[in-house]
Amino acid sequence: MKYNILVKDKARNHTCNENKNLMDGLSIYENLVPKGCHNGACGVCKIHISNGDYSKLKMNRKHISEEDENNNIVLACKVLPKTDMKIEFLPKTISNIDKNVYILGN
Amino acid sequence: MSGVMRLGHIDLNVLDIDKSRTYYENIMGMNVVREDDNGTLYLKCWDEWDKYSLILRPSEEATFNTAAYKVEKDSDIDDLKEKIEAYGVSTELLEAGVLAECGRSLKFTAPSGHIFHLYAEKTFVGKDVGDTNPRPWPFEGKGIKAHWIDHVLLMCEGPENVMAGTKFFQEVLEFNLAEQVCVGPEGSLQAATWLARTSTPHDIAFVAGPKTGMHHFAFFLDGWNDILRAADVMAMHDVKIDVTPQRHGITRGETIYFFDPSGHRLETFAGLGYLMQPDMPTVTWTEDELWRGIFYHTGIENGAFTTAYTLSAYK
Repeated sequence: MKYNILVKDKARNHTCNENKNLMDGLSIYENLVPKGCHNGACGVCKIHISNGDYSKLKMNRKHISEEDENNNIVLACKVLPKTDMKIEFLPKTISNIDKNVYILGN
Repeated sequence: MSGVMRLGHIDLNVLDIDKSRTYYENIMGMNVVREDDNGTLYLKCWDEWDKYSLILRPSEEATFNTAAYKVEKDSDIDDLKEKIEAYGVSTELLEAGVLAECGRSLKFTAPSGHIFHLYAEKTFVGKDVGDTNPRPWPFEGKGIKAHWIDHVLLMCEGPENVMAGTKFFQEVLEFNLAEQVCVGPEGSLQAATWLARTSTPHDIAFVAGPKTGMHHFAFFLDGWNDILRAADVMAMHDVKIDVTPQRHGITRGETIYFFDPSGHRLETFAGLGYLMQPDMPTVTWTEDELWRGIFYHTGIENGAFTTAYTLSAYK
């Protein structure tokens, strides 16, 4: 079963299979999801879910607090759709200090 | 040559210990050799002779704990304790058994920002092929049958910590600087370094990033054919591959980057690169050619190489 996922920050709709997490399902479409580890460690794929039912796997507490999780702020790589969904990727805030030291990524 | 011999083991926190066990056994071809009551797993590759090279701890986090290096003699621990403290880094001497299956060990936080252990003894098991008239590789075994854990690349907060960590590893632990990426005014800052104690291009590497952590650790394979077969095995198991088979300019290694079930980045590093010796001149990569150094064929940034990595557990 495939569900329709609206990625609000990109204003684009694409489908994701129910047996795939959102990162695995949506990463086949160009420039839709951020590049990440797809399994929890990196925390790049933090999203806010505003609509839709989903099942979820264990979140990395280094990136997602219990409070976040209760407020539907989760890692897209740990979420599997059970209905159509509306999600928004939350960009990583990079402080000025971080920018100064982030040599290889500039 | 006394002192540090090689990378001994990596210690990680993982989100789902059962998934991790299946992954490292069936895909990497490691064996679980010890399991503690709290669920912690210890794993070994077939071509390694000490008890284990990887510790996986069940956790609420997917984070990096420590890297441990094996020294040649027990007396090295006393000698290095003195040297490390004289350098201004405090150390803690841990009794035998605090590190599982190991003799006494020395724990310290290096100027790179990472916790390290040094130990001289670990329970001996032997290679799967034995040491009398051995076969070249074990007929038994699963997945890609990785030979051994080869090196670790750690992320440091900024070039200052890369440089401080590099200087410490050179001056105190007597690692040799094989390669470096130099950036900034007249290349005055080391943004990345590759250091060796063995005769391979690196036993540890440091790269500058926004946060302290582990970029990846690598498993050794023989060469390109094994790399291509490993990539097939990964695709068959839906492993998230970050960078498909590619040559490194730096170290000349043949590589795949991919992720484990907790998102820790792993590498299969094949070929010896070149013979590393203490008198080899350091290779320098400039800022404008650094991506040629990292991914030799494309020469451009690729995958999630700079954005995605594991954070240290204690920060």
